Amino acid sequence: MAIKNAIEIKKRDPNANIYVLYRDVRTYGFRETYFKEAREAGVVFIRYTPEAAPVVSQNNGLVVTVNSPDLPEPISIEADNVVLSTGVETDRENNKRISDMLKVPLNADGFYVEAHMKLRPVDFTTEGIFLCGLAHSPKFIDENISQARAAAARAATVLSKTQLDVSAQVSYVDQQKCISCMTCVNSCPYSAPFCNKDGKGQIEAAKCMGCGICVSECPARAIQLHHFETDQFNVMIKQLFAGGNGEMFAGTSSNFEPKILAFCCHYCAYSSADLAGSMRIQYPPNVRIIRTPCTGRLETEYFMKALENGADGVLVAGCLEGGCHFVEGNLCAKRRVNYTREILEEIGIEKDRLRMVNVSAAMARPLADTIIDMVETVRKLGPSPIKQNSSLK
Amino acid sequence: MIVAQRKNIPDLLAIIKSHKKLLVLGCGTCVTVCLAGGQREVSIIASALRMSAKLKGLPLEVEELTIERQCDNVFLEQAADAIKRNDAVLSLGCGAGVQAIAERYTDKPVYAGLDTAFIGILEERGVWTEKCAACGACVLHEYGGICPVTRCAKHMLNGPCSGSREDRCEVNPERQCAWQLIYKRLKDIGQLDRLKKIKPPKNWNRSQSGGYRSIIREDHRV
Repeated sequence: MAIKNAIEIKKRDPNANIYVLYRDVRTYGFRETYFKEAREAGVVFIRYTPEAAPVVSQNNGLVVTVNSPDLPEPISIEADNVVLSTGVETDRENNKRISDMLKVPLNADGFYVEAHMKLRPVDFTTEGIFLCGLAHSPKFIDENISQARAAAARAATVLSKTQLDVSAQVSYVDQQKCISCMTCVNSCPYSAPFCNKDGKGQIEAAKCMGCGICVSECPARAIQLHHFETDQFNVMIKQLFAGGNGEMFAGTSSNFEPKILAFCCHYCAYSSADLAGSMRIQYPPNVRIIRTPCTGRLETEYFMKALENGADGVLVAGCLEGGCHFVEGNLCAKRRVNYTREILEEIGIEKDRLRMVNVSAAMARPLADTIIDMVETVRKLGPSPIKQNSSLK
Repeated sequence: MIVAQRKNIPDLLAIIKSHKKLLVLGCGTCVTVCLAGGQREVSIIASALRMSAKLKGLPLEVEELTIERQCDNVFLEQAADAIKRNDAVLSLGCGAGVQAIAERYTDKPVYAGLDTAFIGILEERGVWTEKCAACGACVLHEYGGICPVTRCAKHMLNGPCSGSREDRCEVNPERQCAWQLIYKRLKDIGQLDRLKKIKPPKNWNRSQSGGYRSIIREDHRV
């Protein structure tokens, strides 16, 4: 806006002296040509920092003094007019309230965050809630309009239906086993579980996103996630190390080859491992991957069971912190990994045999590097002490 | 609800190390709700004990079971077979559960796997706080529903003491002064006049002064 006005003034009166004092010039995309045009027309841009904001004094006419980090000393500008360009800030307090109410995330600046910048630009991770305009970020009017249209179109896809299909991958509560502790209600990022009229936990399938956080939190193990049930995980963990030697693993040479189990979340780490394959990035064959919808689905017992069954190391790979597709599944996993590491220390097993890493779907190289590092760490630690002792007997 | 937390693994191993076959018995009531002794915790502790024993070269078989409520004979009956086929029981119930097992299964050693801490509530995810000291003579009606016996560090019935700073307790500045809360609450419900009356010293006879307490209901006796 400031630049647009500056150009217009310059057009009407080429002799006008215009100074733009700025912190961030936001002329992204083709708007860069405006910036260029303004500079070519003779508009002077001077940067300042919020710590040393410009000072306006009115003793002999208007004088603006600014101490720019780009200039050796403060300069004063005698001005006929001082025009303020207002920035766009968020209503942090109310945004926080709405964010808690709808369980939709905010970024560090207090703006709402979409599910995926490119793939789901006007959706929230919570189904059926959409965003546009300044709620999302400061932007120009044309962008606001197209984003608003997109959000309206997305909302129409829901509203135009006579009935909604529910995902097959949702959690459900075994009413017999539920002890009404309401841990699920407290832990779901989407408010899908509720206390039903029998006083038991129940999951609203239309709201459930299928992360499995509640499944892994439920202390009575009364909840299961379709397609990612506890029995399935247990069988996978057991079979990988069946026979005690882990025949599923490559490298049965006489030298010690660490056997590492990696739990990879579907959205980031698993995709990243996939990408590593298509990019021909190599990582050691010591790792076997078990896919999980979200690291939040991983129960503390899985880490224990893997080590008990003969894993030399366990790697938990989830999305970047703040980038979990299920809001906070990776943070739940982090807490459980830390808790398990404490128990390992109590038992007397090196806690570095269990590690959590956060990668995005595009971070194939860092994931491969982590696996290489993990294999080397475990190689130095040696075979799992659990296995050694059991082979003695 | 009764709130408890697990003992650490080395302590548990030291307690059970003389046994070869161990039943880790969970309880599906209070200690499941406070995430200390339900099915999940039974599994975690059993796993940890097996690994721990292996590391020390101790032969140890661990069976896992969780029943609805350890403090009731009807449910304890469901664990009878499992208790019989093991050398000892590690109970993840509260202190009442452990003793119920000891009383019913007289020839079987039973150990407490948890430290039973207090009667409290879930404050926020992963945080429990004590709310009731089970003193036996409730005075909550006098104090707007906030217990000075439990929540005031000095158990003062005629508070506050002169040590609180703003709304913080002088004993532990991270805690809120119970008396500040009582004052605010009584003001909110228009019962500040209750504070004008000086309360006599509390009668602790109904607490633990004479050993364990019991309640007898003649109308329910047979």
